[in-house]
Amino acid sequence: MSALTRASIACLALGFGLAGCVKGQGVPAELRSLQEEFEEHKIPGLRCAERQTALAEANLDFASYEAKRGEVAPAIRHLKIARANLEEAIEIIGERPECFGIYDTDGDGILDPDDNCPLVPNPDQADLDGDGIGDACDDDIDGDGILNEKDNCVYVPNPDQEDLDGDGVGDKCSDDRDGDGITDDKDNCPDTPNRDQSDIDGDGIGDACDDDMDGDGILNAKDNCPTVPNADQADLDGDGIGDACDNDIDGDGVVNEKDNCPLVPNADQSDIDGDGIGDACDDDMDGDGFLNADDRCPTIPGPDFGCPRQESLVVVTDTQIEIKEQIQFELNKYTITGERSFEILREVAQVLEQNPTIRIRVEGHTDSQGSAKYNLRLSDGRANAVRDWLVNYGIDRNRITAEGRGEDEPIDTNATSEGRQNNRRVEFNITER
Amino acid sequence: MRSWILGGALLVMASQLAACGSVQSTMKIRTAKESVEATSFSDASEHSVYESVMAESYLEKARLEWAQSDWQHASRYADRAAFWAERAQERAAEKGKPTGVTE
Repeated sequence: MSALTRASIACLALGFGLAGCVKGQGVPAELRSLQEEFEEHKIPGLRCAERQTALAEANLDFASYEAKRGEVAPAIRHLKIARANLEEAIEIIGERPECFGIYDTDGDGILDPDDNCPLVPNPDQADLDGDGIGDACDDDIDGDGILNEKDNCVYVPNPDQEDLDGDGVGDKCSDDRDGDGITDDKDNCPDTPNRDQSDIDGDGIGDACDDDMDGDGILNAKDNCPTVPNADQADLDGDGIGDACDNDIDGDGVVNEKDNCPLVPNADQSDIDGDGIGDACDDDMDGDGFLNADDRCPTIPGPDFGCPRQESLVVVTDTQIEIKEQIQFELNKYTITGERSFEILREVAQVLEQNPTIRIRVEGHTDSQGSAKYNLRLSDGRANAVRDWLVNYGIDRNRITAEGRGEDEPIDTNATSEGRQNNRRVEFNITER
Repeated sequence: MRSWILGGALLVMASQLAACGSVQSTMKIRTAKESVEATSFSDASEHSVYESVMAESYLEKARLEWAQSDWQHASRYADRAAFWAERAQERAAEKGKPTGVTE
């Protein structure tokens, strides 16, 4: 009888209930099955269930040796003990990761294979630089190449280690990089100390770090007035200081606020009319109401074309506009001559302008030299010449009549030169008021 | 006559061999027992449970075989018991724990 047959008989006879026996597989099959199952669980068993694993292994060895010797009953008994211990071991092992060589060494709830820092508890598994080494055990947390102990900004990469204010805290993680007392998020110039936060052009960039402080489009370095907008860069006196911020724009040595003509050099500050506007830039220097260009006496105030009024050349009486000097004509002609003659006529015209109801008759008179006929024609021509001048001046023609009286109405003797001169005259007789 | 003499000689030799197996297995069991006890008395068994249990199991098996006068198998199991007892102590030593075994 073979050992296998005897084993099968023993299985049936002893009724141990071993699965293999019940199925009629016999001790060898059960032995192989159990050995395979044992080998499968041996390593985790050694970690978590040493006693049970040892008992299972020893009894398997006993059963194996006994089976070879044909000692069925002892073999089955040892198989049973081996299975019981193996099952107990399997139950202990369960799904405990450490039994399979998977541990949570630092006890942070993350198994070692999944733990980015297996020896230091770090349940959050934070890894700032993403290098796979958890921050808790990363000697360069931010991965900037500077070890934490030497890094002035451990949590923000800053390989340059810049520390503007030298406070030991790297700029990258300082909330006040320039140390001016204004936090970076509120500092209009975070890298340059500017406690006053001055910002001339209001562009949000502090003047301390604004390369165009006044915002006029000209960089400070090239701006002749960097703090006052002056896109035109005007510099009247060419002193390199823009007019916008030059306290002596015209460079005459008198500061603008005291200069009566700040845009025109006038060191003497001359001001004839004393109106506070220097003559150099006063279009009516003498203040007489006549612009310099029209003023015959621009530096002397006067109503007469800008000149002081001379003694009046005419007098208005009840019957005449008397003239104090005679109007001069060219010899034996009707042509008025001499500036004085025109001054007289202008005054006559002004009287007529000022008295618009007056009507006059211009009378021409001669002395007695020459024929009466000639003198009449001469006096008439001269009267009309005066009338024409007044009309040309702007007096209504209808207000003026002209008449030559010849030599018939002398007012002085014709016997003397002085008398004849008096007789040669023009009169402006008022015919209507 | 000669066959009687030969038979007697064989009988004597067989009994001597049997006595030799008994003595040898006994010695081995004793040696193994000392090793296992040395392990048990120390805290080595706490640090090498697997090896200690293996040693104890084989020692017990050796005794059973010896009790059944199976000297051969008794020796075999005694050897294995001694082997595992030694491993138990080595493992405990590896863990830096004193075994308590003295020469």
